[in-house]
Amino acid sequence: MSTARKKALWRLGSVVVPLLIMFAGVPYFGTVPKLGPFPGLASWYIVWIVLLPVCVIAVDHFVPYDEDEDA
Amino acid sequence: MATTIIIGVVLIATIIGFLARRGAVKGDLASWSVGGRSFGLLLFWLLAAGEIYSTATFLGTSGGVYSIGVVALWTFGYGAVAFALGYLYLPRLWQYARDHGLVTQADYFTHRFGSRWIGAIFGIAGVAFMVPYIEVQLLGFGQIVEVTSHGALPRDLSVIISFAFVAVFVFVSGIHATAWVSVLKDTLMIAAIILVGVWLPLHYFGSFGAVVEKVNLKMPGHLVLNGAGGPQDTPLWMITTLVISGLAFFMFPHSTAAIFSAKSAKTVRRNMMYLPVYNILLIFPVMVGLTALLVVPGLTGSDTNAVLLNLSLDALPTWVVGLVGAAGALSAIVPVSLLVLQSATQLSKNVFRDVFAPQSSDASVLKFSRYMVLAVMAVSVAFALAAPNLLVSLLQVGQTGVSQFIPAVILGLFWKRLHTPSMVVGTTVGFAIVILSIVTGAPAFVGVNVGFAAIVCNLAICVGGSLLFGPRTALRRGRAQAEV
Repeated sequence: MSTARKKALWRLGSVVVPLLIMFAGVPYFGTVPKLGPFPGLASWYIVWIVLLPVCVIAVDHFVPYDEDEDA
Repeated sequence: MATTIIIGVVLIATIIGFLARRGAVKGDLASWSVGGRSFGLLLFWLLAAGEIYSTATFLGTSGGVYSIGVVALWTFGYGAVAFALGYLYLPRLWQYARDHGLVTQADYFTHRFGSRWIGAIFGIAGVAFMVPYIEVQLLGFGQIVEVTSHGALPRDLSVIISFAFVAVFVFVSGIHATAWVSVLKDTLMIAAIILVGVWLPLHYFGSFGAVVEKVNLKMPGHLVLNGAGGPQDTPLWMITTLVISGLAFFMFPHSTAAIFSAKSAKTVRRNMMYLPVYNILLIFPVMVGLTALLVVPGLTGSDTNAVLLNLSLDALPTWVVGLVGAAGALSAIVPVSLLVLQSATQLSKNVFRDVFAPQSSDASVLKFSRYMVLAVMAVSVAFALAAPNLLVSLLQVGQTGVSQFIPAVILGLFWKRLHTPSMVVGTTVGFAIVILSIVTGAPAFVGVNVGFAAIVCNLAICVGGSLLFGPRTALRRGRAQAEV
């Protein structure tokens, strides 16, 4: 597998994997009326609203874009 | 006091809009409609995020949570999904647009699929999907101004005067006006949303947790997805709605134009990495909606959209109400200015020039686009005042309809083999399913969001058709080019 393809897969994974986990939690947290100070589903979304950028930024740090990838 | 603050802020926004013309001095279409692709991290952030805090969010999120409970939380989650997915494809879309000098979404369709007719027809469809969205903003503006000024500012007159100013500053300054007014709007909006979202729940019940507990005691079922509220009240509908709304977020022509305005692909990518965090602020309208459920129960219909404003009037000092009203007014002005600008540009460039007057110069298209701004705004305001419910009822068509551009945009960017006729058939079938669902009033199809079901059919046709016919078409095209 080429380096470019590996990089693309890492970036795809940094978005898709957290999203899949977020979606997978909806059936459970959708049945929790309260988690912390908010409805269960709202708290679950807050966790992933924070974790999504963390995952993307972390992968972007270790798998940086090259100038020629932008061009 | 509240009235003075609202009028003052709208006037300041107008002045900022006019002053922004200095950014559009080059006087060409790209400078006027996409800022000459010069917006850095902050301006691009404000343009791209501007959608999150429109009047639909300001009033609709609290109203939605009030009336349908946690089902309305899709509005809380979909922005994060949109930005995360945007990280994957929007930098490439920006690059494609820059390389080929594109300024509208319809330009992309024309260039990618090699047909001005596809660009024109998709361009008209895109404008049609934006019109109900403009109407919602205008009506929301009228409601905000009327309620927060205690009726001192009449709804219709406020809409006419304010959006006449907006039309003129967009005419003069183009997207630069939208971007700079966004700075004021987002500053006020963030302050107002935090103030209201923290103050109201604490004022009435002491803590967020107490509000949630009381709602759960009073209305068990309101805070969970249990199917009791119809086909939308299920996890499957919620997940498919998050996916389709997240993907559709940047399919509106004005959102695409905001992407084209960025300085570089890196600017787009950096913004998409950080923007999901911006969505956290939406928890505050959610909590206001739950608070209102306990304080003013029993509201129905469009009254639920005003719960945030009515609670603010009841519990906040007048100057804060004025601030909330002003922030709400700007949350309509900014999206409308961008929506009208892009409608006018697409109609002028991709319909008027590409179809009827291909020999027209860029200068004449720019001139025509400017006058088109005035025309689109006049028609939108007239519809909003004459038939307010007609177009708002079509909003769902706009939101799910625009999602049918997903294969054309995303597959078109990454898959060279995408077969143009299959894409056209797939998109048409997707539109047909969306329209059918609106006519029959079905929000879900076998439990999934109708837009999601439509996009699955659309994608199946695009991919299936491309696999079957794509290479042959490519061969034929190659032979034809060889013969020529």
